[in-house]
Parts: sequence; structure tokens; C-alpha cells
Amino acid sequence: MILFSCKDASRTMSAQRDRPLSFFERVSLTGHLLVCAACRLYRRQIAVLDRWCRGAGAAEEASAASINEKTTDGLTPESRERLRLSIAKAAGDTQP
Amino acid sequence: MTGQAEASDRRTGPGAATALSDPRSWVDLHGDILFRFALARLRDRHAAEEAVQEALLAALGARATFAGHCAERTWLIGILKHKVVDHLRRRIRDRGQGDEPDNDTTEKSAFTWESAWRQPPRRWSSAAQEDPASDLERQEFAAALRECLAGVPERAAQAFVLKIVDETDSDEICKVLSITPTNLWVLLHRARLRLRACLEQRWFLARDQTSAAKDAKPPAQPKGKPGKGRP
Repeated sequence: MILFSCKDASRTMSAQRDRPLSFFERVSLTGHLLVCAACRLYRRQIAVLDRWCRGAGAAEEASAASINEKTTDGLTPESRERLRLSIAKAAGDTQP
Repeated sequence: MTGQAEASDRRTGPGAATALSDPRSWVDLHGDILFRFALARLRDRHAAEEAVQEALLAALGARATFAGHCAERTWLIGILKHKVVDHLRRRIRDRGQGDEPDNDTTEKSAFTWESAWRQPPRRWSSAAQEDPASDLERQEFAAALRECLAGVPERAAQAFVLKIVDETDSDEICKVLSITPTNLWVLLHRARLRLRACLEQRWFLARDQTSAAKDAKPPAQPKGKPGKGRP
């Protein structure tokens, strides 16, 4: 079978972002993309997706404390207290 | 003690210490961010808290080596990254996760039995694909990504965050998750399938409409939600 289905093509397009394709994969993918607009879109969009996500870790580092209050996945008061105590204890030990 | 005296006090400490705040304030300054960072990668509140604690204690011990090349929080996150990877490694060793039977349904829900798209990608405007315009937008995207990652199977989400968000080396990821390179590609593929679809709804099409509204054009009529495929 020389022509890929959309399922084959999406797998191959994702792999292509992380490794070089084999000759067979390249030929089959090129053939499929010639006739499939949806997969052409998919290929462009996963590139956009990767690019946006790459910056997302740095965005978290930069985010201000005020943003946390809107989200529910911050520390619970109990966790916060536990952490505070353990740091204070350790800091006290190293810095009397 | 006057402010000036305090300032000179700090200057007498080891040179690097001037750039770090009091460790006792770390939990208040960075606790939520560190916790969220760990939670997104470990998906377990208890493990995330543990990782944060380990990172803060390690940072406390390594204070003298802080070189001031980066912000305090970036430094702390750098340490936390290692603690998170340690946790993943331990967890996978304990569970023998690498050998787990694979019953993932991502492809089944994305494609029909004829291997065609159930819901073909929709067109995103070129404005929506442009890089984030501001820090605020970057943070909003990070929040949307976090929500969407919750819908991605655990191992695929771990692989994606390590590889794409944290830009970890592939060999290292394979070691930590105890998988082969082929497994890694499969996991990344599943993550991209789910995330693309989720962020299309939550982010890229929504961003389209905000930019369209700015241009005073009526927003495109949203299509009816296509039915979810068979389970």
C-alpha cells in the first residue's frame, strides 16, 4: 500500500517532528498530503502547537503570584504550612 | 535595626546571598508556582508537595552556589526539575510502568474505522497562530495547556511535557520513563492528537474570535458540537 490513511499520516507527521523519516514514509506521506487538506492542516497545526508549548514552561516561571489565586491548583493552606515549617526548621539548623 | 544596617548586613554574607531572598519566604514567594509546576508533571498532589519540599531543602543547602545568573525562581525551578524527574523514575521503577499493557483509546476516538478523521482539524486564522503577543497571553496559554493536559493519558502527557515543554533530551526521557524511542514517538503522537483538538477549542479558535471582534467583524457562527465518537 503506497497511500497512507489519515491515521497513518498523522502518526508519521508527528514522528517527523522528532526523527528523520524513512524513504517509504516520505513517499507515502507526500502522496497522502497531495490529496488531503485536513492532514495538511494537521501538520501545520502540530508545528504551531509545539512552538507555543515550548514557551509555556518559561511562562509559568514568570507568572506572578496574583494569577495563582484564580486557579484552584495551588498549594492548600495545610501544604503551605507543612512546607513553611520544614524550611524554617532546616533554615534554623543551618543558620542559627 | 535600620534599613541601612540590614542592607549592609546582607552584603557581609557570601556574595551570592545578596541575590536570594530569605529561604523562609520561599514558600510564600514561589510555593504555588513550584507546586503547580510539579503537579503538572507528577499529577499527584502528595508527590508534588514532596518534590517541592525536596527542592526547597536542596536549594537551602546549595544557597552558597547560587551564582545569580538567573532569577531566584528560575533557579528553584531548575532544582525542582531534577526532583520531579527523580520522582518519575522512582515511580516507574516501583510500578514497572514500562511493561504495562497498552489499552490507549486516543487513536480510536480520533479516527473512524476507515482511519479517517472523525473531526478534521478546523482552519485557524493566521493571526491566531502568531506567537503570543504578551506575557499575560503566554500565561493564559499555559493555563489552557494545563487544563488540556489533564485530558491526556498520563504517560503521553509526561512524555509531551518532558520533551516539548521542558525540552529534555530524548535519551534521558526514554531512561526516566523506561521506554524505547518508538514508544516515545507513539506517546508524543497521542499527546499531540489530544492537545491539538483540545487547544483548538480552548485556545486557537477562541483567539480567532477575539481578534475578529477587535476588527469589528461579526464572529463566525460556531458549528454545532459534533457528536462524540463511540467510546
